[in-house]
Amino acid sequence: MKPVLTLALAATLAMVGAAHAHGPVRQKVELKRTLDATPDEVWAAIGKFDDMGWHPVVARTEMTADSASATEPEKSTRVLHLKADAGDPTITEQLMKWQPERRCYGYRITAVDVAVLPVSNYSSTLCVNDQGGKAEVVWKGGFYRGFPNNDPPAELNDEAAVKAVTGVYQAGLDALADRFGAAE
Amino acid sequence: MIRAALAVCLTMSPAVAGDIAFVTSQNAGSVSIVDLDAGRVRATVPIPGAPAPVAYDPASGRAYVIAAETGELTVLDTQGTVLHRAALGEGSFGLALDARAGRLFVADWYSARLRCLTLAGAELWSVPTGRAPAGVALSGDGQVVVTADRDDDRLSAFDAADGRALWTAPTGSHPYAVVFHGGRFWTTDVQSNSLTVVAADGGAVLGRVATGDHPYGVAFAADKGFVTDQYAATVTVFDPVALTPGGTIDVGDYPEGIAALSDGRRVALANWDVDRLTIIDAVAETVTAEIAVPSGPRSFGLFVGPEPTR
Repeated sequence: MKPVLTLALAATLAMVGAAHAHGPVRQKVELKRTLDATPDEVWAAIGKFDDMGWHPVVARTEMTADSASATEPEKSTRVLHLKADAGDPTITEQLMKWQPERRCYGYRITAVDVAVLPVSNYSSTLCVNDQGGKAEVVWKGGFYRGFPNNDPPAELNDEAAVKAVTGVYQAGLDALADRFGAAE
Repeated sequence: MIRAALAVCLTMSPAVAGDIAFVTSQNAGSVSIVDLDAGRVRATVPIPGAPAPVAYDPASGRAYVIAAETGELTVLDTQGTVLHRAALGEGSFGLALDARAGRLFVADWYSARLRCLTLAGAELWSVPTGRAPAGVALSGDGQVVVTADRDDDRLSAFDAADGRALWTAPTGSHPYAVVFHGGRFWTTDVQSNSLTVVAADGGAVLGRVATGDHPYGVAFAADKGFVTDQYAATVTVFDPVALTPGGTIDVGDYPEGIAALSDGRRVALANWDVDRLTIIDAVAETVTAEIAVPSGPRSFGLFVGPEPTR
């Protein structure tokens, strides 16, 4: 019995120590897509912090009660309700930068279950650039893996985090390409 | 003979040797040596294991780099030749160099210790710190070494000679980088968007300076302080005497490691998201140069200095 107990205790201690730490390597993902539409047309579709309806996995965008508007950095907060077979998986995100003149906004995730998206300390920027009159959508993020300490399980390691974020961006850009047409 | 003489001339020609920067590109897995006068990357050396912390010794022309994933130390010269490697153990992260005494101080993030090592990586002593020690800094006289204990929201100070605990000082939430300047230690409180200022002698908290969102590094030039704000994508300028914030300078997303050039008039920063080394004129508070570097530059530490004169 003793070895089992010792192991269990060690596991418990490891989890306690991990509560606020994270592996020291931040990951980055950046995806771009040029669309057969003007920057203003695409910005009109995706440049609203309170409406992520253009993304195929988002069922509903809800602004928190204390968000007076959808354009106030550090205050405006949205809850994305994701499409799911069961339950109500959500991602809570706060606006960090609001730059409509550049067709850009930045946000961070303030709450997410790592079973929904296996990341921590996630921040992101979504921009629409002008490429010779065509809209180039650039979506990029910086984040740490979901498991905060060393020796992460496979589903919460660096690769899993990058794969999950890449999947989210890819699905969004694919939907925009379906809607506006790809320029390339 | 003529060629040799010419080579010497070219090496000697600047009255003062130009500065170089050692840029650790964590995502690319490399270190680039950047000639700051020429504005170009001189050499890029692959370093496996996500290198981030770095300390450069201008006197010897050697840089000490730690790979965050493995804890391996790599020692490089100014041309990018790897001179030495040593396994310091997983969790080794922030480091400070005492070139005069020939010692390295390395924080162990996972086991919450500060270790004093020879320049080859052999341990001289080791003492416990607070939880998750990140940055390490040494006082100008080489007598006090501190760690920024991220998960205990404090600085811990030790006698650099033997590791005897001297004092602790409360900081804001999640202190990360720490540097010494003007008799004080300055640490960035990542989660409370401030800088905490602590007297090196005794550890009294002397004040706090408001910064932008998620401050990372701090440096001093032209009688001003400069803080990189990761999430705000700005550099906050502050008055290091009055401890009041001044202007901000827009840079790319995730500006991180920052250090002063030896002219005292410029600072260089690693811009993680846009993969650039950005040079700022500290007097004018403007960006004067941006140099492309491999993916994910962090340069956590004192990564800039002149080349040794030959």
